[in-house]
Formats: sequence, structure tokens, C-alpha cells
Amino acid sequence: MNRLWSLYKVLLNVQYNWSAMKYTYLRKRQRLWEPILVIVGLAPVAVLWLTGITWFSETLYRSGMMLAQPHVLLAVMALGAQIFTLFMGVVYVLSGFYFSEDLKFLIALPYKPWELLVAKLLVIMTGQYIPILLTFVPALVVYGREAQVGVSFWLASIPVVLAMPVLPLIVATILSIFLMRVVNMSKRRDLWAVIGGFALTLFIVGAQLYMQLSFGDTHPEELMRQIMQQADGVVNLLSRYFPPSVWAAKALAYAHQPSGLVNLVLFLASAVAGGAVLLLLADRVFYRGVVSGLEGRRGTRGHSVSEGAVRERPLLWTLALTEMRLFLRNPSFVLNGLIGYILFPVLVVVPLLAPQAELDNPFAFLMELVSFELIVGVAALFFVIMSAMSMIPATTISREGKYLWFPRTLPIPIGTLLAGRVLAAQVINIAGSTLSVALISLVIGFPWEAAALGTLLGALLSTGFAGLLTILDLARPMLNWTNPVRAVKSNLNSVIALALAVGIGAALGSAMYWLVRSGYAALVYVEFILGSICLYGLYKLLVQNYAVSRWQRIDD
Amino acid sequence: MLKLTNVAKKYRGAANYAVKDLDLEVKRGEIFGFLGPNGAGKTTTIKMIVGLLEPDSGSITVNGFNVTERPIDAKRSIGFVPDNPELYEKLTGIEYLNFVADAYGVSQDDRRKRIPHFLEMFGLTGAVGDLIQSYSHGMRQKLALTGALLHEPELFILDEPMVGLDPKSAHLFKELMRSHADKGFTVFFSTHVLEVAERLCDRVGIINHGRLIACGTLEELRERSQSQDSTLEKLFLELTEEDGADE
Repeated sequence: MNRLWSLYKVLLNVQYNWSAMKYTYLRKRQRLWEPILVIVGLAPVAVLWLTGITWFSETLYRSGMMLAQPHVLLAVMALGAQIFTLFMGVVYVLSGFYFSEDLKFLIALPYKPWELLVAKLLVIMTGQYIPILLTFVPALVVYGREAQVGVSFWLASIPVVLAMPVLPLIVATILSIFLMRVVNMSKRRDLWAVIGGFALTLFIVGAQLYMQLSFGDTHPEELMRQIMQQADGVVNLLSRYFPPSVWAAKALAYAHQPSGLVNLVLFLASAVAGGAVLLLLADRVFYRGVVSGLEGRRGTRGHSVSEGAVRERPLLWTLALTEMRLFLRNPSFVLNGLIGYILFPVLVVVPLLAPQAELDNPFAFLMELVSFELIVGVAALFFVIMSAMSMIPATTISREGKYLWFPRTLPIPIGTLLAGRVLAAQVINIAGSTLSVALISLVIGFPWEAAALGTLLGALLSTGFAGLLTILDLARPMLNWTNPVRAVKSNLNSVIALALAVGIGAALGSAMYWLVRSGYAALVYVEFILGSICLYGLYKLLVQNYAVSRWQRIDD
Repeated sequence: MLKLTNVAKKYRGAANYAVKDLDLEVKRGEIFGFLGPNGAGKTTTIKMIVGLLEPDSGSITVNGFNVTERPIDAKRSIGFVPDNPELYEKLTGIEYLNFVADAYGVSQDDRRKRIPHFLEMFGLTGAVGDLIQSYSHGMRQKLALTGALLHEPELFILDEPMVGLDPKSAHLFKELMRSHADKGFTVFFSTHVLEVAERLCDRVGIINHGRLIACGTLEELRERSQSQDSTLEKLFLELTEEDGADE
């Protein structure tokens, strides 16, 4: 057990860069402004988030009270947390188990396959406690306060919270293990892993949504009768998606009764049973899958250099092309960065596929609420949010890692290097966001003119924003990583980028709303063009006055 | 071609200077070997020349360009191969070479001549369409060397070029350095392999504890130690031990 604990601690340390941070901030006392800036910057976002989640939990609690089922709050939040873990689990497991460079030396160590599997899974699981702490725990506190629960509730909440991500992650791991067994047989392993990873993730989300919306299959009056007559009508209905989340909710809600204990045992037993299946698979499937994935793949040797292969390209385009190749050929980057472009359209399309007797278009009500200009503005802001979510510009220097020596020795000014990276990020962002906006508009029925105008303004607005994100990553790159997923997902710059995108979205969105309400809707276009100019201007200013000197001293 | 004047570098938080009061001049057309024990300051010096580190004081000029004030012009004159060339693993060999050629502005005609020539020489022709992640250490080093030579750099810098190379590849590397210098270009390399330095270099510099303790042709070093038949290895040990005793 000590060996496993020691392996877990080392992997956790490497995953979150603790030793490097301790060395820089505590021992060397360098760059102390960084953690201070991060805390100061993220504190308002955290406060905003906690306020929102508390309000949501209180609303849900009151709605549950109206049906005399206040623990609907617990069931919904447990379900949400577990589905989120399941959804993210596939991406994390594929990145951590199959595309992590540390496996090369971990496999050579005298650890049993199950020990490696468990230690790596525990590291992924530890990361999953963060979203649980931010969503499920505030709901627990709201429920505990509103329902004036006893000590037994708080005691039961400890194992429930600890076991919350276990089963979904095990399910995600088992699915990923089988996926990689199939994928490793292919010559183009990376490509099929990305396609398979996306397909698996979308299947999980799609299936959940489909089941949720299939309530339409049940006659509405029958549904209401079930909800009203049964003591846990709503909660039991939720169990159709992921039964363990309901066991968790009941374990808490009835913590003072024997039925609570039964549900707690069921919840924990399901996690243990899942773990046993996983351990069985560890020796037979996981190890072979990982080892076959580590085998070097050589292409067909013997080609000569064709005339067409040696090709001169404009510098800016060659920089962008290389950046895109390096991003798109790394499954960890693609799985983590591009999921948003696929997820949002799916979230809109799936409701249309579900059996809906009452409504032809479940989004029809939206058309009555929003104006043409609001659609344009929201579409444009979607580009900004997706630019941050893709993590391409915000981790452009971090992703260089050990390769950073190379661009630094090239005779290319940093302004040109960054411009190439912004171009690459924008080619991917504009392609992905345009497809998403087009699909969403088509499904919801937004006018195509509004979607087209929004796309144009979004492309303009997100260009300066992407530039600013490259400067952010230049200022605080995360260069020491062995697992590529750390360069994007464990990189605080990704979080800061998202916070900035939300901030810009909130500022421009409120101004737009005010303009539309005040009868100056036409000025929305002026607002977005001015916003684009300001962001791009700020980016160029920082390139000239900061990036040059920073680039020269980035290793100091 | 390369001039270092009073260069000093101390890493943040370190007690001692990595490089101190370094004066060095390397002339056009010569092969200069930069020798020194582990941690003597060789790689730090090379990193300052190629622009990866900024000197705390002093100046470095390459082909007449100060590397701090005119970094882009200086880098244009340099071809650099580090000790462990980490190359983008997700690019194919030919994509990497095309990228380097675009970065250095190598014309289409020149790259059509030079790329097949180097690939043939290093036996990489059949592998150039594969991802670099499938290359061995030696193949990566040869690809890095090809990339560094594509623009015919006036100053060719190699950090420990012989590490991890098989005898045939090491021989090829030495031939290339010689032929590059014969064309009138300059070669500057660091090494631990004193036999290579002895046979290949026009001049050598020995650095220890961040200071240049000897510089000149082998004959000049022998004269200094007053033993006419000393090998470079003996001279190296004598000079570095002498310097250690002085400290």
C-alpha cells in the first residue's frame, strides 16, 4: 500500500507542478506576484460562481418543497456531478493513460499493472473533486441549512462526496480501455483515438439528453400522477439516468433512517463493484493496450523526396500551418480543446431527435424573446468564448514545453511568431464556431443574416482576443510537463482565458442589452466593431512594449 | 565572426557566476573547439550566443550584429544544433525541414538542391515522410543538423555534437564540420571528446568555473605548458587541475 501511496503522491505532484511551484514561490521566492495575481483575479469569479450556484440550489430546494420532495436538489446535483465526471472522464482517461509520456518509464518500474492503473486513476479522480466541490458541496450546504439537518446528514455526506466521482470515472475508464484496445490495432492510432474519444463522449452526453427528453414518451398526466403520488416521485424518475446518483441523494436525505444507510451501502457498493471489474480488466486488457500503444510506429520507409514535398510557403502561413499541425496531431490537445465545437451543436440537435409529442421545435419560444441584434451579438460573443475554450491561443507557448529552444533560436521576431499562432488559432476557431453557429441557427430557426453578421463580428472580435491570450501565455507559460494534457488542462492560463472571455462577454453583452432596450439597436454593430478595435489595439501595444523583452528573457 | 567581450552570466538565486569575464574571438573559416569539464559554463555560453539566454553584462556579436540589440540579424547568421535536439515529434521530417527553410528564407531552388543532398548523405531519405516521433536519437540529431545547415549559416554552432552517435554518424558529422569551414564559414562546437577536438579544431578554448583559462592552437597550448609532446587530454587535465588549485 505504501508503494501505491508513494506512486500516487509522485504522480499528483507532477500533475499539479507542486514541487516546481514550491521551489519557485517558497524556496526561491521568485515571481511571487503570480499567485497573488491569480488569487486576486479568480476571487471575483469564485464569488460570482458560488453566489450563482447557491441561488440555483435555493430555487431548486424551494421547487422541491412545493412537491414535498425537497431532496430533489440533492438528486439533481448528484446526477449533474456524476454525469459531468463521466463526460470529462473519457477525455481525462484517454489523455492520462494513453497519451501521457510518463508511461514510458512508469511501465518499466516494478509496479503491477493494477497499481499503475489505480494510481493514475486516483490522480484523475483527485482533479474531479474540484468541480464537485464547486457544485455538489454548495448544494449540500444549502440543503443542510434549509432543511435544518442533524449530525447524521453531515456524517453521511463525507463518504458520499468522497465516492461521488468513483463510479463514473470507472465507467469512463472501462469504456476507454476497450476503445484503445480497438484503436491500437490501427496504424493511424492518434486519429482514431480522437475520433473514438469524441464519439464516446458525445454518445454519453447524447444518451443522457435523449433519456431526459424521452419523458415525452410517458403521458404527461401519468407522469404528474407518478410525481405527486410517490414520496420520491421526481427523485425516482431521475434514477432512470444514473441510479447511483439517486442512492447518493437518498443516503443523505434519509441519513437519520435505516433506509438512508441502505442507500449509502448501495452507493458505496456500486463504486466498489465497479472498482473490482476495473481491477480484473487491468491485467488482462489495460496493460496490453498501453504497451501496444507505446510501440514505436514506423511509416513505410523507402520514399524519396518528391518535388512537391519541398515547398516554399509565406512565413506567416508556414508558422500557422505548423502550429495547427502540432495541435491537431496531438490527441490530448484535440480531445481537450475541440470538444466544445462539437458539444454545443449536439446539445441543440439532440432535443430535436427525442420523442416530442407537444412541440415541433423546443426552442421556438426563444424566437419570441430575442431581437435580430441580440442574435448577432450572442453569435459574435460565442466566438470569443470558444476561442478561450479551445485553449489554442491561451496555451500556445506552454505547449512548446521542451521544444521552446527551437522557435527561440529562429530569426523570426516574436510579433511575427505570435501573429502566426493567432492565425492558426483563428483558422480553427472560425471554422469550428462558424459551423456551430450555423448548425445552432438552423436548428433554432434564427435568421441566416443574423448568423452571418454574428460570424463576421465574432471573427473580428475574437482575433484581438486570441492575440491577448497568446500574450497571457507568453507572460506565464507552463513549460515543464510530461503529460501533454497538463499543458492545456492543468494550465491556469486556460482558466484565466475563460474568465476573461466571460468578463468580455458580460461587459459587451450588458452594453448590447442596454442598447437594444433603449432603442439604439443599430449601435450594437458599432459597439462590437469598437470592441474588436480595442482588443486588437491592446494586443498590438503589448506585442511592441512587452512581448519582445519577455521573449528574450523567458528562460531567465 | 564571433566575438565575446567581458561576458558574464549568473543564474537567478545561484551563488556563483556560470560565466565570468569571458573574452573570446573566433575568426571566419576556423573550427573552434570549446572544451571544459561538466558545469564549466560551455552550454551557458552557447545559449547566450544563440539568444536563448541574455548575458548580465558584456557583449556578444555574431557577424557584426550584437545578439542582444540585433537578435534577428544575428540569428540569421547562425545554424544551431543543441546537445539533445528536441524536435517537434508530431511533424514529419520533411515538414520540419520545410518549416526551417521558410523560417530562414531559403529559396525554393536552394532547398531543392540542399534537402535531398543532406538526406542522402545522412541516409534519411526513406524516413523523411515519417513523423519525427518514430526517429531514433541519431536520426533526430542528423535531421537537426540538416535543418541547421539548410541556410548555409556563416556561424555553425554545435553543443556536444558527438553524444549518442554511432561511429559512422560521428565521422559524417566531423566531415561536415570540416567541409563547412573549408567553404569559409565558421564552426564553433563544445565537446568532451578531446580526440575529436585535437584532430578537427584549428583552435580550442578551455573554460573552467565560468572563466576561459586557455585559448589558442594546440601548439600554443603546448608552448604554454612547456611540454612539446603533450596530448590535448594531458593539457586539458593539467590546465583544469591548475585552475582548480588556484581557486
